Amino acid sequence: MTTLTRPSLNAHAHNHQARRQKQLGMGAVYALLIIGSLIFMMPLIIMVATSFKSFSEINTYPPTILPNVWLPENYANAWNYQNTNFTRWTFNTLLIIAATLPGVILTSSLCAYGFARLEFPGRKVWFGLVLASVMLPPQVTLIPLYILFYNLGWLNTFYPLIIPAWFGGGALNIFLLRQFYMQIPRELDEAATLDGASHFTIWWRIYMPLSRPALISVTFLTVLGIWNDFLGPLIYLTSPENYTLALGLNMFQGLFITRTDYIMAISTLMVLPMIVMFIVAQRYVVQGFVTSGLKG
Amino acid sequence: MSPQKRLLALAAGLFMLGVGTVSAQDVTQIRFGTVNDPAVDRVNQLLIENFEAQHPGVEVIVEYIPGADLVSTYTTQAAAGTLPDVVFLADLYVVPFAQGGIVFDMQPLAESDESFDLSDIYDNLLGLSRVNGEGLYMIPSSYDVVTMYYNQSMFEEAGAPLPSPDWTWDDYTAACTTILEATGNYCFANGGGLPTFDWWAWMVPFVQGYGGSLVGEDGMATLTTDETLAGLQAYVNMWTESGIAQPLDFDAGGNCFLVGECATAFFIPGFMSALRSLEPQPFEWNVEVVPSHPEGKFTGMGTYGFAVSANAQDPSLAWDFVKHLASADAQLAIASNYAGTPLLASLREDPAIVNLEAPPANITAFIQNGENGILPTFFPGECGSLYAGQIAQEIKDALEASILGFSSVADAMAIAEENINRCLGG
Amino acid sequence: MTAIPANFPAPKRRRHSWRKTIEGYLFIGPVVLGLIIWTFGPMIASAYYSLTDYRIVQPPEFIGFGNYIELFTTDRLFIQSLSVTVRYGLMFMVLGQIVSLLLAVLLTQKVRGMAIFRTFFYMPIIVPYVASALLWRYLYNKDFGPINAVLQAIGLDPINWLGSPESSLFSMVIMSVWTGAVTTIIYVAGLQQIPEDLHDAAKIDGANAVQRFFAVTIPMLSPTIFFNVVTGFIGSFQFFVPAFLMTDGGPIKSTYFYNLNIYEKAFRWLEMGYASAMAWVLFIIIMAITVVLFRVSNRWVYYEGSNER
Repeated sequence: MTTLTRPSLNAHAHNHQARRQKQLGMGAVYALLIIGSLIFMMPLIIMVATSFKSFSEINTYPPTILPNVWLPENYANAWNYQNTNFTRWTFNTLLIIAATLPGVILTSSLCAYGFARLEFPGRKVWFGLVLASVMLPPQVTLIPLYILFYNLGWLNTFYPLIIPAWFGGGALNIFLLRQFYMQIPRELDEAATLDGASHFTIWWRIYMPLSRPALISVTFLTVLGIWNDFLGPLIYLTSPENYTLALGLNMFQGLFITRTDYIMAISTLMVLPMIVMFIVAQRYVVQGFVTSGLKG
Repeated sequence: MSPQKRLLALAAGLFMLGVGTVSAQDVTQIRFGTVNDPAVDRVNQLLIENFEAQHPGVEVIVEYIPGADLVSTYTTQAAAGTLPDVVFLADLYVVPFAQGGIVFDMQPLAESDESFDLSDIYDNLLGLSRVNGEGLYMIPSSYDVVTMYYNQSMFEEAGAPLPSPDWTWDDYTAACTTILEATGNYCFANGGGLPTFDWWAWMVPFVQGYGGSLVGEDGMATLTTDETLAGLQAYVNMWTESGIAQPLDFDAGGNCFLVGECATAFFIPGFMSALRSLEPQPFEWNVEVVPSHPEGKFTGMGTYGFAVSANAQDPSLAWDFVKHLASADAQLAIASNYAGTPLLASLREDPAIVNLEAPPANITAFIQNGENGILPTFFPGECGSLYAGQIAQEIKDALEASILGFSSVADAMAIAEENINRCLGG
Repeated sequence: MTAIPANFPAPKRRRHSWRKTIEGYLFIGPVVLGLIIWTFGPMIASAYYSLTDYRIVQPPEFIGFGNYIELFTTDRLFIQSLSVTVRYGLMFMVLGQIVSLLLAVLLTQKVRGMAIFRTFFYMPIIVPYVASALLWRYLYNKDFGPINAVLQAIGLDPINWLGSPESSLFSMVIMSVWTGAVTTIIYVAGLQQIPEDLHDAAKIDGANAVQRFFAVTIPMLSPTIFFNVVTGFIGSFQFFVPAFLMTDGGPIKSTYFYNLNIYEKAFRWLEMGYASAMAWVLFIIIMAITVVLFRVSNRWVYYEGSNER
């Protein structure tokens, strides 16, 4: 550790100074948070503003930032656009998420535990293969994979979007959780092993609860990934009644006219549940995990 | 119940739910792949209604291809043999899809069908549906010949003479220079929703207009003959010498013509529908036939249409569906939606078209301009076409280098020609 | 924690090995099956395609290493697109990791309302791509974009962000860093997992915030940093969609990313065999670098609970 500074003898003065420093620090943090928020909120602001513009106003030069005339009816018009069924597509998207997410969380953490904590022949090789599977550009495996699903009779169903997620939940999720599990002190599982717990019990009772911040990250990214996934649904779902929201968003793109106003309106509606999810899920993230009690 | 157990129970339940939706596929049906454009929607409906009236027992399944990402859907479906019976197609896919046997040659069906008159469709347009003049792989939707749209308000504001049918490109350049000096606005809109500078339908007419050709009798590229170079130079000059073309790095935040920053756009009739959807109309606009080159008037074409895919279980049934696109009924519907110009010579003078409400006031210019439409140069061999592949790539790169001033037209084209011919020759 | 000695008696290990092996494969079973079913087949197929002339619309025709030979001898865009990708990858790795880590530190400060602030910061990845691409075209516009307006207001020359070959690639890097919230989220999770008593102990030792950051946070976070470096690297080598939407690889191929090249070969040129060969070359490059990253990681990644070095 670095050089020690002796604590001030005058405890009162020290406290006072510390509080002032803390307030100053808080002020700086808030300033940074607010400036940063503004910068990162830009796309949302522009998106919401554009969703209220008329189609003519979108096509003016130079572009306006805020609408001259606010058109809330864009939302109703977008929702009821020709040949769309956004209610159904919302349901489809939620169904895919609900059927996928548990598979991702359970199987990715199970596999991650195996890679992080168990010793067995072939472990390194398989971990290498898991990682390697994301290194090949997906454009060239698209057609073989499509033909596989075709032979399984799964085209135009949700199976291709759901079932593979139950087999490990994605290489990057496994890698992420493995990194987290390798950080957890071994004393925890050694103590549990002495108590006669199996690896399965240790994973389920100790690692799952302890890795909550990481599991919540995995959840975020999985839900968001499905919510905005375009290529998968585009390739596998052909009937409009099976579309997802992200795919439906592209129904506004025509040959000669792209209804940017409607795209932005539906995008805004699509973003709202994600914002709610982010805020709500934050409450369940334990602020760091305290190991001192367990260590002693 | 512990949270983990609840998660497990939920997982099991939802897993069952998620996999429980499968569609049955027994009834006689025909799959119809198309796009969801306001201008095309009426045509889709007409085709479906007509087909259902003729074949009451057959169900039509509509499959939209959302967005501009037509290629990955089609190539994947083509590779796996799952294309719909009737597919939406555009001119750029005709040759590769026909050569690959993915789309059906409809020529025999068209000839043996007494209710269908192929000779009524403009011949130059049909060339887009053929492979080097052979077969019939797509029923085109409209007489989609590239015509000049112009912002009348801007011309008048700048005091430039309005376009006329007897204009030459020199007249065009002079008027555009007046506009550029008076208003600072550009003339030749490109990119931002319109095609980009390398679109064959803009570039090849210049080459032919100066008596050149991109390909010689022996099938090798001829980008450096005097005539070809003169045409390409004249095209590039719009950016470099006169500066009347929208610069490649000028982003108008959208389509330069649509937002009122460019005085002209050279595009197909369907663009009317986009312009008319602006309410209120931000400026007055009209259309005119293209200006003349030294060798006469030349312009490109580009259209979408429908085709019978090789997967079609019953090609004659699919033909019954597709052929209605070229009926007077459907053609008038397309035209009255401002989504195109009738491709039937018999509708040339039809009052329903001639008397369509303005803008554009001069709507017949689309038909008059029709005969100027030329086909993309056909390159034999496996080095691509003017749409895609190495040939398109080399020409695009050479044009870009010339337009941005990194190279002279002659030097850039010499390199492109050498690269293309290396591919074609070996 | 004591490391297992290298000369650990062999017989004792073997006695348990069957049980341990079965147990291990029960845990990683899902992904092993998943790889066998969903990944290996398509990968082998693409490896085969890479040895064929496969124009998608016609059946593949075996041509041996012809595609690879063409790639390394006559294809001028191969080197160009690889160079664009490598330069982008290097810039993005350095800038992206630093910015994301600093943002994560900011977002784990204990102040009220943090859940809301975090959500604001994650916004760029929540917003669908169509909206993002539109926004950046607007921000970067050389004539009316707000960034150039600010530059001009403080007396600097405007920059032709996307329109000039000199700046276009760096503009892509900035945009990617700005949309790099995934990296930030993972750093936030990593920071939250660091036991607080370590910080408290360092504080009692009198270390200031900066000292604590380097002495406690960085070592404890090293597994997370390692994860982000590896995945960031793999991701940056496969980057192309924004370039596809915003510049189409231009101007003068300055943003012609390797995967954009693959996409064009596969879906525009319909040369799937050639595209597959390109993909396998990239695969081998990425794998080689990843192996190096893993080897080097032994020296700087610290796993609290690991008995591996």
